[in-house]
Amino acid sequence: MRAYWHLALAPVALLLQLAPPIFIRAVAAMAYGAQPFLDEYHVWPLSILGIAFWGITGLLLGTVSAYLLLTRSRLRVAVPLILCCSIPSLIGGSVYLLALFTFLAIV
Amino acid sequence: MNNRYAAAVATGLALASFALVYTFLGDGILQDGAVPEGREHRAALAIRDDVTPFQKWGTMLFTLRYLTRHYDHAWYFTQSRKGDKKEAFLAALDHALRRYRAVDLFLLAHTNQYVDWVKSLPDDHRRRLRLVYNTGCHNLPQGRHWLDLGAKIYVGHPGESTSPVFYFYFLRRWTHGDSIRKAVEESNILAWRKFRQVEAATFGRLNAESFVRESWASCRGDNHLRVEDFPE
Repeated sequence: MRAYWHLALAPVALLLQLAPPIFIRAVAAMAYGAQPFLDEYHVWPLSILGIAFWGITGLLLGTVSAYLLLTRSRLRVAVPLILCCSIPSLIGGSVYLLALFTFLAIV
Repeated sequence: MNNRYAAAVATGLALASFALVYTFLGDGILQDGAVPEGREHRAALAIRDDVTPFQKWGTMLFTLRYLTRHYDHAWYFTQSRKGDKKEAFLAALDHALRRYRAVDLFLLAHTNQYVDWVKSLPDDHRRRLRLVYNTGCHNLPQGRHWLDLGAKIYVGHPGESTSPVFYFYFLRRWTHGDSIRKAVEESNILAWRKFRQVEAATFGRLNAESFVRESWASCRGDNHLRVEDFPE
């Protein structure tokens, strides 16, 4: 079983793309929901940290999962997993990274 | 596949993904880190109306950094009901008008009448109002009232506008140092392109021309102004 754990990394990378929208909705609700309890002063740094974390995580997991699949699996297994899981994770991570750079007025 | 080749392919995929995302979502300008001259003489206020938590969050997250970076002081207000924060907004605006040579207002709200709030401030303070940008639907005709109050330039939308798309491009260009005229023209065109992309992505369900007709922003007043200019 240990020999196949790398096959799980790409689906995990894809599944983790569900986390950023949940994080964003949670922060927005904490700050601006019906019963807000997060001071607006803290929303910006918290959101920036979260977006940075999810952006970097998505890119790292997408890259590492693609690398492991290419080095440890046959191409007929690696290519569909990379196309269906690693690349969507890379695109998701890129979106959050670009958002981060935009919110920080870097790009 | 050997390790080195696999590493190159995986890294290439990551870089290609970012390039693809930037191509679709980027707007072609780079914030080079320079802040246009005169930062110490200008201030900005922004107010967001009572919308969904996500919309409030997104507006604040995008706006705040641009204002704090390019203005000596920036006040940001988020309303939790209609008419909320009036006293705090007017107090901050009056303070800014007395303290700074130019004060810009960003009214990030659906169809609104903040112009009635600002009327209550003294005439000689209001003459330092410079830019008023209003995202409100059908609020373009309000421009002459803002100019009468002392604003030098007003930017608004004519109809049921999808102004957040325009605002994203506009704020980045205005704070970058572009003239109002250039910032508005480029932002209108970029917003139009974005609407066309959405139209294509939805197989024509959303009509880009209709979005453009309702949202196309216009200026009233001195459209040569830049963020570093201080009209007296």
